Formats: sequence, structure tokens, C-alpha cells
Amino acid sequence: MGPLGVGQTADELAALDQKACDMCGITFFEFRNQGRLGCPHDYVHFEKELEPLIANIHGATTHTGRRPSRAAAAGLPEGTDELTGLIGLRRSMKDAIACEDYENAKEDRDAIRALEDRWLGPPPA
Amino acid sequence: MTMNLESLTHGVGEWLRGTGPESDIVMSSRVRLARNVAHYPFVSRASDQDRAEIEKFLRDRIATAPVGRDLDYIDVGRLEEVDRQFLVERQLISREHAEAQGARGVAIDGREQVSLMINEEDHLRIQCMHSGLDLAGVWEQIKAVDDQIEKVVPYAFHPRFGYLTACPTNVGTGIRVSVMLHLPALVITRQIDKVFRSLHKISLAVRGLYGEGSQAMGDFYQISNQTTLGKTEEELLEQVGDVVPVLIDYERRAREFLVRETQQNVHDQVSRAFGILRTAQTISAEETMQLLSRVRMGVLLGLIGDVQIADINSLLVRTQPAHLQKLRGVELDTKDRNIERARYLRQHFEAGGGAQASQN
Repeated sequence: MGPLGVGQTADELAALDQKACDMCGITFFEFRNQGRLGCPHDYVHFEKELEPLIANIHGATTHTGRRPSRAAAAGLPEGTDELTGLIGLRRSMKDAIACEDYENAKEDRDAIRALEDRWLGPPPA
Repeated sequence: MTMNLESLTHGVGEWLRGTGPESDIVMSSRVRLARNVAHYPFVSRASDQDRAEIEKFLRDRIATAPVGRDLDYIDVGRLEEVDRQFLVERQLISREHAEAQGARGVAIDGREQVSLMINEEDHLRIQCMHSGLDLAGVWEQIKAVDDQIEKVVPYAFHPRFGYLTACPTNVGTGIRVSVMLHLPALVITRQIDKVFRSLHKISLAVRGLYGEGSQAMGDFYQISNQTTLGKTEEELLEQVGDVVPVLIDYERRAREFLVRETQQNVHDQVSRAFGILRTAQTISAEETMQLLSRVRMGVLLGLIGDVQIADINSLLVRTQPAHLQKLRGVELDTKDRNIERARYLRQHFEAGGGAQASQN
């Protein structure tokens, strides 16, 4: 069973193609057409679909090379998916403002600031 | 942090310096790392505003790293086409980066060894290049640059998949190791296709001078790794590095064969190539490169005297369209460029070649 249709019914494929990333909004169909992913969260959101593709390209699915050291030093998780959450929050805040839903917009803004403080630190001088 | 491209025009850049180990065959060694920041969409899905913010974020952060002090920043989006092309010919940016849209830039060190492309296919592409065969030296240098930037930039990373990239073909290490070789004797003796077929079998890619999709001009070829995940950076460096001495050996033997078995023929070929370069009245960039390639081999085989390799190398880049226009200070169409190129070559060789052009 793979994202390229092996062993999948047309309905299953159609459903897979419409599945959209909840951060950048890209669908698997769009990725298949363009060959480029939309954001880092796609590797989490489409993990099951991407895995056979990655195995096919590289003959492996586990990274064994260098790893960032910054996160550990700052007491943050090594994976950066939490920080990628900013993409969804920014979109949500924009939508809330467009609907004049200022309460939700404020909540989003606070969540954005908290994530930025935690991950990005103070802006460089 | 801005740079005057004119100051670059008078040098030849790192990849044509013509120095370093095995530089009779190996033009340059290069490593690039693909990196993305975690909190923005990848470039192809980023809005204009996202791209501008990514560019600013990376510029500001990199400026705080030690390496940032040695870099000049060029706003590629604001450059004229001829200047973008100039940077491509110089191998400081990719063709894709030159032709893209929106906010993007490149930071370059004064020796043209390090270049950081911002908003290419990935948010950040770090490139390091040395003249000749020096993958170990390149790796040490790029590793230090990557470490410095990683301290100030949150790279998108997945515990199992590694560094995350816009295209799954680069995920994991994000590394592309390439060595550019000049293999005229393997081309002349028609062994080149056989060599490439065996390289493909061991998962190495062969490309022309300007990377993906470009034709092999002037017998210059880039050998690089095709996979980026499941092996360490050192293993991937070895995968490419191990095959280079073999290719050097093949090329040397083919050159010896040519001199031994067909000396008159080869001498005739390179002399004719030299003759055309010195006397032509109009000449295309492609033909120039092809002939310079043959002359380069002739010099190395001792069949042509009075010409320096560094001199040929400098002509290889200065006769390309954007360089020629920058040197002449005017924009020229193809036809006029061909006339101007021929004039430039004649003047160059009449003036005795080497002296003024070999300085870098």
C-alpha cells in the first residue's frame, strides 16, 4: 500500500489526495503534482504517505547524520514541529481578524508570542 | 552589507583559480547544505509577505553569527538580469535562483568560497567551494558555517527524517557533494559514456557545468551524490570522494594514450583549437568553451607553450555572456556578443595572454 496507488482503490486515492495539511493547507494531490512540499509539518501530517516515497528515493527512512544541538542546549525538543505550529496560528489569526472575531485573534496572538518567546528568543540586536 | 559586483568582475572566482590538489583534472570541490526555518512555509508555498519575512529573518540572524561579518549581501531580486546571470556564471547562485521571483538574496565571502542563498528552493542553501580536490577542507569549512548559523536559526528538523526540505529528495542530511572534473581525453577516446554508466550504478549523478539539466559544455562534468538520507555526511562525502581518484586515473591514462598513440592528431587538434581562438572574428560561448577545453588539455600535455592554465581558466569564465558584457560595460545581443568575444580573445592572446589575466 503506497501513496502512488499500489493496492489502493480509486476512492481511497481520491480521499488521500484531498487530505490537507492543517498548517500550510497543501493537499497530497498538490504535492504529487508539484513535487514540492508546502511546509515542514507535511512530514508529520503526511508521514504515512511520504514514508514509502522516501524509502524509494533514498533506500532508507532514518536519518543518521548530523543533528542540531541548539534545541537541547535551550531545553527544547529536538523536533521542531511545535514551532512550525506558528504557520497555522498566523493563518488562524488572520482569518479571525477578517471575521472581526477579535477575541480569537487575541488568543492566537498570545499563543504566537508565547511560541516565539520559547523558540526564537529575543530578536538579535 | 552590500556588494559591488564590479569588484568581482576583475577576479575569476574560486572554482577557476586553477590551484589545489589534482587541479589539472579537478576544477573544484563543492558541498551544499539545504536548510529551512521551522516557522514558515517552504518557499514554493510562501506568500510574498512570507518570503520577505524569511529573507529578513535569515539576514538578521546570520549577521549576528561570526561568519556574517565576512559576508557581503546581494539582493538578487533587485539585480538586473545580466548581473544575476553573472552570479550564475560565477557559480555563486543557481540558475533557478537567478530566474525565481520574489524576495531572495545571496551572501558571499570575499574569497568567493562561501555563498548562502536565501529563498532558493529551500529557505537557505549553504554552499562552500574550493579549487582543486579538497572535499575534506570544504566539509570542515561548511560544517563550521552550518554550526554557527544553527546557533541562531531554528532549522526545521524531524527526529527520524532529519533536516526537512521542500523536496523529499534532499531530506535527511540535505547535503549535495560535487566535484567538477575536466575530462577531455575520456571524451576524445569515447570512454566517457561507459564511465558515466558505471557511476549511475553506484548512485552517483553526473551533470554539466551549471548543474541540473545543463549540458556538459567543454568536457566539464560534475559528479555528485544522489541520496541524502540514511547515510552520514561523512559517508556521502566518501561515496563521491572515493570515485574521484579512479576518474583521475582514467583521464590521466587516456591523456597518456593520446600522446603515445595519436600525438600528431592530438597536437593538430589542440593547435587548430588555439588557432581559431586567436584569429576568429565571431565566436559563440559554446564553441569558445569547447576550444578552450582542448587548449587547456594541450597546455597540460606540453603541446602548447606560452599559455598558463590559470589564464585559460580565466578565459573560460570571462568569455561567458554576462562576464563579457560586464567587462565591456555594455549590454550586447547574441550577435554582437559573438563579435565582441572574438575580439576579446584576439586582444587577450595578442597581449601575450597570461600576464594581466592570471592575477586573481
